[in-house]
Amino acid sequence: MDNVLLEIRNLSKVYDSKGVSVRALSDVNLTVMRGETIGIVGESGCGKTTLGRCVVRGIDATSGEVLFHTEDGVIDFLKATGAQMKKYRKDIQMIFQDPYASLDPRMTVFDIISEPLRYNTRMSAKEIEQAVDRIAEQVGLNKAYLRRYPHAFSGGQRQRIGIARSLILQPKLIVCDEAVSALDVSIQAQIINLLEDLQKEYHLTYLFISHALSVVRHISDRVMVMYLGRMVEFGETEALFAHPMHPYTQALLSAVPQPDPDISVDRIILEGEVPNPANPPSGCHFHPRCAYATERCRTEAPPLVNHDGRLVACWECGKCQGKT
Amino acid sequence: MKTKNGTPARKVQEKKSDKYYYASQWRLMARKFRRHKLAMVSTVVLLIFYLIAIFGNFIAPQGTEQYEGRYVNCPPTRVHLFHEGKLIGPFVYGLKTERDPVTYMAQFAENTEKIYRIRFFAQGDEGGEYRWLGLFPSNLHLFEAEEGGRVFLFGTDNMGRDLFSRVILGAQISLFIPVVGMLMTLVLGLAIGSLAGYFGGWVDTVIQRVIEVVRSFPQVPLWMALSAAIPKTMKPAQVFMLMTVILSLVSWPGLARVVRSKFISVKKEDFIMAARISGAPASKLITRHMIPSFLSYIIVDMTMAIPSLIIGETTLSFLGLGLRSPATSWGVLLQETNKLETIMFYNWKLIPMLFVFLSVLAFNFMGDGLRDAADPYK
Amino acid sequence: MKRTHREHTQATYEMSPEHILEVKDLHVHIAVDDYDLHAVRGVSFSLKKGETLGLVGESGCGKSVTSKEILGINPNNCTGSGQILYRTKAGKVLNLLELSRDGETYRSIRGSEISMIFQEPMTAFSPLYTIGNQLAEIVLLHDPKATKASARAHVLEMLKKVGIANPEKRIDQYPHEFSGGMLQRALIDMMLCCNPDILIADEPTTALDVTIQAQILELMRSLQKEFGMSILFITHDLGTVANMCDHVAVMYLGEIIEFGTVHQIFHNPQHPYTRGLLRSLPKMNQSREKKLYIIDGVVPLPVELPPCCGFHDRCEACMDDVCPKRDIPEFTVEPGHMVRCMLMEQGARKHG
Repeated sequence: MDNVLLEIRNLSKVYDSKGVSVRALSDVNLTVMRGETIGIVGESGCGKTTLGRCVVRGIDATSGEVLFHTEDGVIDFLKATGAQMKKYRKDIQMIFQDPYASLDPRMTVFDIISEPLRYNTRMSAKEIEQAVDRIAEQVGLNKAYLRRYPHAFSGGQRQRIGIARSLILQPKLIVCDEAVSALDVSIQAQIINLLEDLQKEYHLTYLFISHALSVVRHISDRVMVMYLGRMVEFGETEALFAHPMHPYTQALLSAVPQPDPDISVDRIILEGEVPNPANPPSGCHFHPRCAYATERCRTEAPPLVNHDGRLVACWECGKCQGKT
Repeated sequence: MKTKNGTPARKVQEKKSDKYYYASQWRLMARKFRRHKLAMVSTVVLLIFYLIAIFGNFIAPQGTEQYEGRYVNCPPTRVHLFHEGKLIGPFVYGLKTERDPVTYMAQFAENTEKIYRIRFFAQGDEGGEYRWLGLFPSNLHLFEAEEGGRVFLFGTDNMGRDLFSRVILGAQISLFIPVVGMLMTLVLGLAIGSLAGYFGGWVDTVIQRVIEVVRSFPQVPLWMALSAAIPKTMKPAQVFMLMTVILSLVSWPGLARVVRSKFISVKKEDFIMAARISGAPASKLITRHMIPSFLSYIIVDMTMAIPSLIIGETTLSFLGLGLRSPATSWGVLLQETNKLETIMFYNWKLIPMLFVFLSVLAFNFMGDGLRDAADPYK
Repeated sequence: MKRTHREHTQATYEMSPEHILEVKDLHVHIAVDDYDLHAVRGVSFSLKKGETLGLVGESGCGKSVTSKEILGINPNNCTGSGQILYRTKAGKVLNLLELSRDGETYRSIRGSEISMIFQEPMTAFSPLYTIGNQLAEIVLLHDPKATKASARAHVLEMLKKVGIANPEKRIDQYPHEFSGGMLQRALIDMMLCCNPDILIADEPTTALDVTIQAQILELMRSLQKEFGMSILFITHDLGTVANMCDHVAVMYLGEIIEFGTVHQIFHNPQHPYTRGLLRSLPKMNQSREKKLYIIDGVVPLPVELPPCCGFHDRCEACMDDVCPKRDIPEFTVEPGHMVRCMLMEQGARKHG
């Protein structure tokens, strides 16, 4: 087995409704290595959630491939047959943003956590119980509370339940879709540390989707920045945060308020709003808000270009260097 | 992760809400429902109604087929306790017929010389036989006047049948047709609505169109047309079945529509996505997650629909398109009130209306309470 | 809300001349199903003219309830006691808690003197009317001299000022045609139409994207400079607080546990909770290898709380013989910096 876990190739998703088609995701490429965390950032409408859901096959992608490297060779997860799905479905799991909406309120916590086992394994009731107890302890849930219903738990504890459910099948990849965004600061730190501990213990790979840049910086090895369905920049976390190359990444990073009154960043205030994804600007999607935009940016979409290991999609990449 | 959980405040909290934490959806709903006073009262009223209907043959002194030509259009009998100042327990006086000196109409008056005690748990007259819950033959009745006396709590109709008995026996039809009809509606609506909502696409389109067509017929004429097709020679039991079928055939599209839209909205819920990602097959998704998530709303909808079925049955029978004498229902009883003179001279014949009114009102209030309780997680 | 109706016999109150709002020993009880939530437990603070005060805390700390109590817009199952003193534009000092909630005085204060913006701007607008229509309505309501035409002109000018492109077209659009950020700007605009003395901003940027958040904060700052209003800024986001506020009050379980200037709070935090909160944040400029600091446990419900430090059972430095057993007084660290923690008494700083 090689070190690559997952290859996303030209993944696109188009939503069609009432004659309007919205390109939520266009031709995204990404290679995920085993055991790493890839942060996916961007603002609402950038397609990061769609990307995550396509990868877990929660929704069907319009075109593209998600190549999953398994012991049996490489399979396209999106076109996997029934038998392959039965075998590999459990390897790719997901943690949701909203700890309230993602747990069925009519089931006890035990039933929620054990549900994946019932569909994917032939464990006896006793084995299931042991497995649930073990995982509950690992994510910091009191075993005595497993027969309660979700409404008995706070947001942070519910998120632990969600994590336990996604972990119980011992997956290889977990898509964390804004997994800590709905939580309070002190609880957020608890969950982030828990995710890191679990990653070490089970050698997990994370796709960490979030709009919270400081959290992404903390947890990710590599970061992908998206804007209106396209990848605009991709690189090693430290380097990307220290020297963002795409003008959008620069604006995004400078906009994050720092919890220190003495740090005053030269804030780049972007003009206007994120355009409507149903009717994106021509050429580079970012050009109407970009200070460096030229005629070429208005007409031609820039390709991803490799600058010493950093992928950037910008025609004027040289110009805005070193400004932050 | 350890937390110190030893503070007194914490302990109080834990204890207080322990039950709440272990409560399932239905327990939470019951908790909320009990706070709705009007709904609770209505539920009790309905329970009493249904109990009376179930044990109707025992409570009613007369059977459906009994009648007495001597006592036509007799007003409600007064039950006395004292005779000339002496307590002798519940009794009725004998009845004698008089002519009104002006109008020459026959009138009933009390014959205070004859006293008939009311006996409880007594054997009834010939024709009052019935089977307990349809199983054990019996002729035991809750009360009965002594030989020769007559108790007509609600008066009699124009064939001399005891209206009290007929209201109770009518309840068996009027209260059960809607429920059975509703259950059939539920099966139809749930199945068809689920198909449309879960699969979508052309299945959905076809079902939607059918629903629109069925719903664009006005309800009452449709009922009438279908009921008019029931052969007049059919046995009451068969008529009963046919009527429930007719009522549910007309009312399923409404429910199917609700089920469909609930399906579509619940499909987008995160916990459904979570179940799908953990490998749940479609059948489990539907039965374990989707239907339970909106079943409570469906029950509310059904409860709220029962009043219209009660009215529906009453309307049909009133118009003579449903059950016919001697079989009885509240609608059949009200048939006699379609003449002005009835209301003028024999106003007790309107009593069945009161029961239609009360049960419709009670179902509405109960539905109200259920609706408030339907989503206990808010 | 049960408030006493003594509008006409109101006592006179004294207030420091530089303050515009003083909250004194505010308690708010919320009657929930079968228990009584003591959501705000003796909160006191004051707001100077033209300054920005941040109320920070996690969900359930009572920051929103406090701010809504000032406007008298808490739901009916809430009961407030204490004093909320406010100096009206006419210079009169009123105790807002003594006003009838639906009375004339309160209505004239709400909106035109104290305004509020919310986390979800969508809920503040009716979907049935155009933005211009709703904004003009506000102008007409608060300015008796305005005509329909002048109100519309006023709205247009305001839309331009808050940076909405193409205002002539936008003014006739419906709320659903606006994005969250634009609505929030329109809402701020709506509030500023009446030139209020105090703006209460309840998580105004939490639902927005970072770049839009930067725009809104910038807008609020520049408008504050121009109109000189005071801002009560309620948020859980410490980053925003550090950038927006002059003073910060940190709340936990219905109490202000630390109060000071933004520098005192961020550079010299004293309460273990404030310290923990700051340490638990992932920061853009620190090493990524370090584990995040964790405050264990969860916020308890404020039900039947005995006198104690609300934070004691999550606190590393908890002194078992003191903290769970008594009311914690305020200690002054340096002028203007207040901490509610028994560690201050001994001057002992066992932690950190």
